[in-house]
Amino acid sequence: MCNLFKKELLGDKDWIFILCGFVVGSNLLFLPLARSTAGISIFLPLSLTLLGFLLFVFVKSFIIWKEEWDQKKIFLLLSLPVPGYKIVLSKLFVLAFEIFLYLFIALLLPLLTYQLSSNVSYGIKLANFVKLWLIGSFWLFLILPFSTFAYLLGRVFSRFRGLITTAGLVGIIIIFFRYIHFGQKIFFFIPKFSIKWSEVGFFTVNTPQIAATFLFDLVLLWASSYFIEKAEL
Amino acid sequence: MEFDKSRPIYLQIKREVKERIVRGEIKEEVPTVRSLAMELGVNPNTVAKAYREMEREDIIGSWVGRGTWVKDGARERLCPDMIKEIVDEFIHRLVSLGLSLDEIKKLVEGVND
Amino acid sequence: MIEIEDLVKRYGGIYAVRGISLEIEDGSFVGLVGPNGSGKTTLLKLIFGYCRPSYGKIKINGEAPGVRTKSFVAFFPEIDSLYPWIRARGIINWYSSFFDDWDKEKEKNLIQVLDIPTSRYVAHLSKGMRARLKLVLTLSRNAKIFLLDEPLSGIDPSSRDMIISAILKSYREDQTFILSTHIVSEAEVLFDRTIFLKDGSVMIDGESDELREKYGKSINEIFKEKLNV
Repeated sequence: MCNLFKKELLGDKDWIFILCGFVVGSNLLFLPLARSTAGISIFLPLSLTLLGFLLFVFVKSFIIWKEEWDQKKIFLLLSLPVPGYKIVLSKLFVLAFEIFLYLFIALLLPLLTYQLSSNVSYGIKLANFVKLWLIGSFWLFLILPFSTFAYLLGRVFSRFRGLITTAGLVGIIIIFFRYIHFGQKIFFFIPKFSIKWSEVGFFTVNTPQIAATFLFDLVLLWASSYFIEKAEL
Repeated sequence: MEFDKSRPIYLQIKREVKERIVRGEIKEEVPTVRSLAMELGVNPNTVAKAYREMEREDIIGSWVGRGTWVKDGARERLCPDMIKEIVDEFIHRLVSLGLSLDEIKKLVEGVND
Repeated sequence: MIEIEDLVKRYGGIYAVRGISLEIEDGSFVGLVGPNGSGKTTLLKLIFGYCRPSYGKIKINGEAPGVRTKSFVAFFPEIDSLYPWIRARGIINWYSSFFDDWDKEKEKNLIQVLDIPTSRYVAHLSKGMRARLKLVLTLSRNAKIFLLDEPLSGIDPSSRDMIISAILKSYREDQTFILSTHIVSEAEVLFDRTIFLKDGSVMIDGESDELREKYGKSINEIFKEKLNV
């Protein structure tokens, strides 16, 4: 498992450097703005980064498989006597690690520039910033297995793969939004909890919803692991 | 050794081993299946088949843990067989060219050195 | 033992394999010969579990091909499956870590015999060298069954002998080898059994020496005559 992880990480290292640079760069771009209007400018790069990564996660979780398949390297990976879930998890772990890295930079850098730029008090804005970051991160990790699921579903069949993948992705998103309403009711027994931030900030974490999406992701991962063992090369 | 791939390989291996026994290149211990296969560049199973037949013909014998050996008197028995085989083939080929036995005899008698 | 029963593989309306039944005993070295597109690769992929039959059954030592059979079956793919961003030594070490049946001694010999520059990146190896490196990854295992898909194609004739002798040296009598090829002449001495495929079906199947005796021809000549190639 560790070796699978290492392979994915090494294979993706160029991308990781480029994207780290991109996150740092996009944040630094707003540095001059931060000096004058710190309150607004701190949201701007974060919202853009989160939005960008929403797309990135969807595409990347698809590309990690498509690349391997198109370049025929999947023959080597699937010649290993390793259960499907390990192969799926190793790829998604690396992707999760990458996202974590980018998000970490996206959190730290604005905070740092904010600190350095002036002696403006954080007040409610910083709490909101962290809140946005937390919610954004939560959704990013949540959608991690979606397009992996769709791609591998398509790979089980030897025909109409593109169609099945597209239908799978759309289907899974629709099912998710239908499911999440009653899904969080199943987990009603998990208490919600609130975070108080210094003097002013305050927000509630919807733990039943998190538990319900986590369950949904587990099902997707389980299905993906099954699909890759049944995939057609 | 080059094989004639249009004839069964195991027969050619058999003949090769027999010739080696007659020539005295193989005196007592016969090379293992694997080493002969590697030497000749053929599949070990083919060599094993040749050895099995030669065991049945009582030319070689194998004993568990002691390898494969040439049977006593095998060389002496092989010599006339092999000579006969070569002569037969020689005559057969000439006959197929249209020569009569008398003509062949004359040819052989006419050979010097 | 490999048991194949009424095997069919269909891609849409195209049949890659149409109704093959075979039994392959342990310890046999089988040549799978046929022209391009005759179903050799598909048959090997089905046995390994890279794809699944449309109809019919495959059993390897009683098990359907899958993750478990991969621990004792080795596959040599014809296509270039090696990561370009790693050194030859790196990919050997990485790959070997997944197998309990990896044989360090065999690995060392193969690297030497096949002349692999281990410190070079895969991206900087020639096509022939990458094929030989793939052979190291396949043959260094003490697997029970080896499926070699076209190990001789795309290899210049001078290196073919090198590869044939490496395969022969690594073969042990308790292992099963199935080698597919459309270059028959050099490889035919390896096969104790030859299966001729055409259009996804078995055309001739028999012990190589018996076929030589029956037809009075080499396997290569039978191949050329019967399959019109």
